[in-house]
Amino acid sequence: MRRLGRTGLEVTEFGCGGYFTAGPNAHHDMERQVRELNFILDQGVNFFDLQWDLEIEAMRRVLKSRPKDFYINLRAMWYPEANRSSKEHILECANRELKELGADHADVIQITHNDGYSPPVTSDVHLEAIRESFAQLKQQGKIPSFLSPSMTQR
Amino acid sequence: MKILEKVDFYDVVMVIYNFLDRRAEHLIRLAHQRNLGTMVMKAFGMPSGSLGQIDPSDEPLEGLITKGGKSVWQAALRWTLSNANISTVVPGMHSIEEIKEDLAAVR
Repeated sequence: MRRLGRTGLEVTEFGCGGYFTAGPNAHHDMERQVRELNFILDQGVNFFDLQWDLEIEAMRRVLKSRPKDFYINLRAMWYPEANRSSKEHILECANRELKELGADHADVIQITHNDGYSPPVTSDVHLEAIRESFAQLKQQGKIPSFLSPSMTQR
Repeated sequence: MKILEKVDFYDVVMVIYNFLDRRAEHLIRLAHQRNLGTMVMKAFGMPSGSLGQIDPSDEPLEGLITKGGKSVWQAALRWTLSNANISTVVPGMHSIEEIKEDLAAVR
């Protein structure tokens, strides 16, 4: 286990990223996805980076059958070019994904562009929108910790 | 680093970091000093979906494979995790077999 910085979470060195249960190269067999997620959990992996709607649906089913003794990262897609770069947009993403997950809280949320490489620093207006949305999610007890988009550009 | 001051609301930073791309090394060290977590993507040195392109003769993988008896994937994962300031690696996964291989690299 390693410490995830000031979040205080103790996470496995190896977390579950995307593309396995969903994503462009994935199969779309929901029963199989649930089995695969349970297999990964049974191996002791405790961090899940849910990137796709299908992953959220598979995790929702997993959460019905076992206690949540692991951590979940959600994501808010950031599209400044499509006017999806406001505090309201981030909160809408978080609330929708929590509802789809059937959970009242998650552990981390990431702001990311759909290419995964959005500039980590945009305008001051955008930074303030991100800051305010994080503060609200934390204050509401929905999501306490926040993950940056990739700080390394492709 | 100025960038970390501007985005001080992030508790964890995501970086690309692997044996072929070490640009984030300084940022990883600074993040650790600021008590931020560090999550790594692209630990295998390339975009997900093209895992067949690692050259096992690439330094430093060759030495890692020889010493540990591991596959190229396991060696790549172990190389990234050898940086103690990394919190976790979240590689893309494509099959149960890949999961088993990745897990074996860290056990």
